[in-house]
Amino acid sequence: MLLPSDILSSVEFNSTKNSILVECKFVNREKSLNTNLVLDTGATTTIISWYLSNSLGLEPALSKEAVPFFTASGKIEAPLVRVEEVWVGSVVVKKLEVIVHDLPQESGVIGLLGLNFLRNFEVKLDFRKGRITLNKWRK
Amino acid sequence: MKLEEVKRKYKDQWVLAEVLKEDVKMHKPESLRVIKASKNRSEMEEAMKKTKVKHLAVYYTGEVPKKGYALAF
Repeated sequence: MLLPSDILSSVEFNSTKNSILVECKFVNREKSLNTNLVLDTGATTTIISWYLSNSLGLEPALSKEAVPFFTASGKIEAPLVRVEEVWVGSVVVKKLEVIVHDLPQESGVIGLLGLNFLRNFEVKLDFRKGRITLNKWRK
Repeated sequence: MKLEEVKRKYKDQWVLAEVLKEDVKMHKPESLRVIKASKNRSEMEEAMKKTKVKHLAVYYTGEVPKKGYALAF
């Protein structure tokens, strides 16, 4: 059983829609950017677009790390950068690695919140209430 | 302007906004000033390159995915 003190953050999502959009806040070099990412447990790493990463001063074009990764349309390579803080509600993951890659404009998707963020928590998705709860790991 | 108002006023657009006030506990914008709204993402990206604002927000205000489409990445 979870105690109230174990619940770190509880955020809303619209469970009637065909994707789970999560409000995220990125902080880097004294700049911040709020946006909605699609929660994707099939994405190994969080993905943000080039325009977001440039506005946060992440300079993906100068990144020495490139990651080959598989998308639905094949294998590609993209820069890997580290964001100082990524917030979802009241929880934060610091120095999160993110892949910089533009998803198609027609999709309306700005980025993906992937496993490297989610694995820091016990994640509960409640489709009835439309809530994502991020809890402390139980020992 | 609240986020819900922005979504209503600029429906199905890419919106770049300045965060004027936020819920400091939940890290969610409470008040926004729209800098650019466009159906074309590249126009919003251009505005993003030019702005000196430090606390930004970017949203796509349409359906994700669009009606009749499926998503797989």
